[in-house]
Amino acid sequence: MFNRVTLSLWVTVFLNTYPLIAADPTVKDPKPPIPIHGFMEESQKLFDEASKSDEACSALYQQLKKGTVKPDLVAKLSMNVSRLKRFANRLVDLGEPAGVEFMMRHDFHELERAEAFNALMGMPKVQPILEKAALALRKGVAKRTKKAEEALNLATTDAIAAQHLLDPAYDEYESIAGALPTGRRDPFMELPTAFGRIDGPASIQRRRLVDQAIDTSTASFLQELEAYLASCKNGTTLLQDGTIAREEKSFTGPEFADEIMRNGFIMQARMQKINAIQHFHSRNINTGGRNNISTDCEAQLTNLRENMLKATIQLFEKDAQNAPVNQLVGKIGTYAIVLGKYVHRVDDDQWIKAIDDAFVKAAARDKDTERLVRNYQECTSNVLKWKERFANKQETLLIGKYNSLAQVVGAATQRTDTQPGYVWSVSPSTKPYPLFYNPTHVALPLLGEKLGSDAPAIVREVVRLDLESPVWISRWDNYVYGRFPNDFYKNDQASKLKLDLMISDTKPPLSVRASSAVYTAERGDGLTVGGLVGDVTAEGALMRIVTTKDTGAPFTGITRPVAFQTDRAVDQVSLRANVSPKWYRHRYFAVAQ
Amino acid sequence: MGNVSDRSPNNRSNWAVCMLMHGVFAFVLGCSNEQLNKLVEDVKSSTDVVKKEVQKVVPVGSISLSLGSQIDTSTASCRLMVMGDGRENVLQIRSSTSNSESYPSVLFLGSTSATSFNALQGEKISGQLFVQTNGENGVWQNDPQGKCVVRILSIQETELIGDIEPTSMVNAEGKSLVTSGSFRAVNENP
Repeated sequence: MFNRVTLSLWVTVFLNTYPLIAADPTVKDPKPPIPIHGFMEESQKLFDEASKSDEACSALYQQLKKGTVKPDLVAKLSMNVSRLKRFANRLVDLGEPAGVEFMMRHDFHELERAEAFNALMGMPKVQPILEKAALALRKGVAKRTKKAEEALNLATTDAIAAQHLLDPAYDEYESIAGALPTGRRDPFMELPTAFGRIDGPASIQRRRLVDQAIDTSTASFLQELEAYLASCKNGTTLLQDGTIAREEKSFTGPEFADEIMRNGFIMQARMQKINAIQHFHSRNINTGGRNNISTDCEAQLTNLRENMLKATIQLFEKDAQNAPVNQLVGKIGTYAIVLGKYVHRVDDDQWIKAIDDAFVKAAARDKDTERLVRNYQECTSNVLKWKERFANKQETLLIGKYNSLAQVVGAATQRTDTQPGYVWSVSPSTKPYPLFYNPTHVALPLLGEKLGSDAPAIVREVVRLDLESPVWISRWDNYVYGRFPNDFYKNDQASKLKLDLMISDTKPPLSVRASSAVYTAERGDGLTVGGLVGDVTAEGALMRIVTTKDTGAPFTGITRPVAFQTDRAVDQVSLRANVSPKWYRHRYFAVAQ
Repeated sequence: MGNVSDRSPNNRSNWAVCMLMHGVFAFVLGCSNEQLNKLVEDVKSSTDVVKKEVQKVVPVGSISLSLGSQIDTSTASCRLMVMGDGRENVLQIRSSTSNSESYPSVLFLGSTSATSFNALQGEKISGQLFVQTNGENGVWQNDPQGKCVVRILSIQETELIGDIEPTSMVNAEGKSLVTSGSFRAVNENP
């Protein structure tokens, strides 16, 4: 991590290579800081204050570069630098990757401050300035001493409140003291000393509050999960005359199956979220506790999936048993449509096989129905098998020499010693992943330069989380994902599939294999997209997963918990690339520009 | 077209052939006249059995296509899949019923209003044709703008015999070829 030795080494590098602010005073701070996940309420305020200070640092530095070096501006810069550091550290305590990024920005501003301060000290008539500042500080001794005492008292019960109490007083102090060299400051250290004694306990207090909130959230989620699993089991018993009554609503069997699936995937998404949140629990920081989180989570995810499948199949079986024979086909068709919205999310066709077999079994009551369902499944699965084979070949040709987005971005973020300005990947003794090593507004332009414009890349498991969204995203893959419009889906492939699968408004699919093929084709969701990489944006990896939407199960995947590579997950970056697509592969067809 | 091949499940014909070969060996190795006469009698009766078995060997079918070069599959079967809910019935002709692939591999699926196997006689059926020439490459399907048409010329016991009319095929590289050919396909549910 960034330490004093590296810092001093970098002063020269920075002053020679830091391009943006030093070189061009008209360039505004080019990128806003990365967002917070806001798990703890205090994060928002800290973020706002840190952002303000970050901007103020930049503005003050530019001002100083343009005009003469004024002592009050130098002091004000110093004040904002110190504010930024305080709030950055507190954000890190709250599990916010934004805190780490602000620390990086602080480190750069600290270099600016040092430069400005040295310029001030180098001014010919600096002594009277220093006298003036020292005098002003002397005047405030009593007031500051009183404030320090008040804060230290308060800290015995509430160190966080003590910090809040000290903050404004400290800012006032630093906006004078910032113009003084260390020697001249020494008599006036009441507030820094107080902070020195309060920050430690406040950090512990914050982490404890965070831990409590995490434990509460987890407990609350586990209750929800229990309730969900119970409702899965109840479905079969509650089914009377083809309907289920719940909470003053009435569901048909297929509607309830839809609920089981929809809610089940919401639980999957929330489980990924809770798993991510565990990573900033203090017991997991620096202890490698993440291994336990991941194993539990994986078992939970599997258990959840198994329950979802079992519950829907049992519900279907009962519903089909009770249906009159002449309604059996219609019933199978309705379940096929409903369940076809979900089955493709599970690897290896496990759900598809289980459900389609259940359809055949249920049809066995009636010779004609059984013949229809078997024949339908046989010819449609054969045609799909061959279409998939063809699409596999097409995809191989389309991929050509493209690499995955994760590889392309990963290669561009590799740190070399001659170019320190990158978001940095760790050397491959562990699996490489992007780390904060510089603030994003320094690293990203350099990343962009190295990537070039229009680097080709492929992304996988592409999906629109919500139908209203104009963009598709790809599955999160080693901290990287793509975002793109998918105009290719406006093609005739979905209607062609329907013809091939003998599906129409009056003739439903009789397998989920068929129905999910059409469903995904109509939505434009697919397996692979190849395109050209445009802008890259950085976010905190933790933040990306902690803010998973309820519809987000396809984004994180559901087979395995999202794994964070080391203990300090706050340090890890997620990169999002805009991709301009050139071709799109659905499981059963491919479309290219 | 029926060959006595090792793919035949008919154990008796295998046994009969085996007996014949044993007879030949015994003859070559040399035996007494009496032994020889008995052996010849045994071989004669087992040969009769063999002859009868040969006549009753189960057909295995085949599909022949010209697709650039000649493609011949060593087996072929078919099934008329009756839907019965207003959807059109489907005639499926395929080179192999096994789950594991062997090449070349061919699949035809076409719609028909025929409701029984025998009613397929004389029918022209249009649908989709898929061909894979080998395990690595060569996946073809009929041009999506067009269709594949097969003509059922005759039905001989359990075999459907017919032609595949000239069909425009494309592969994943976008290469285009016209194929045509013939088939003898054994009914999977006689």
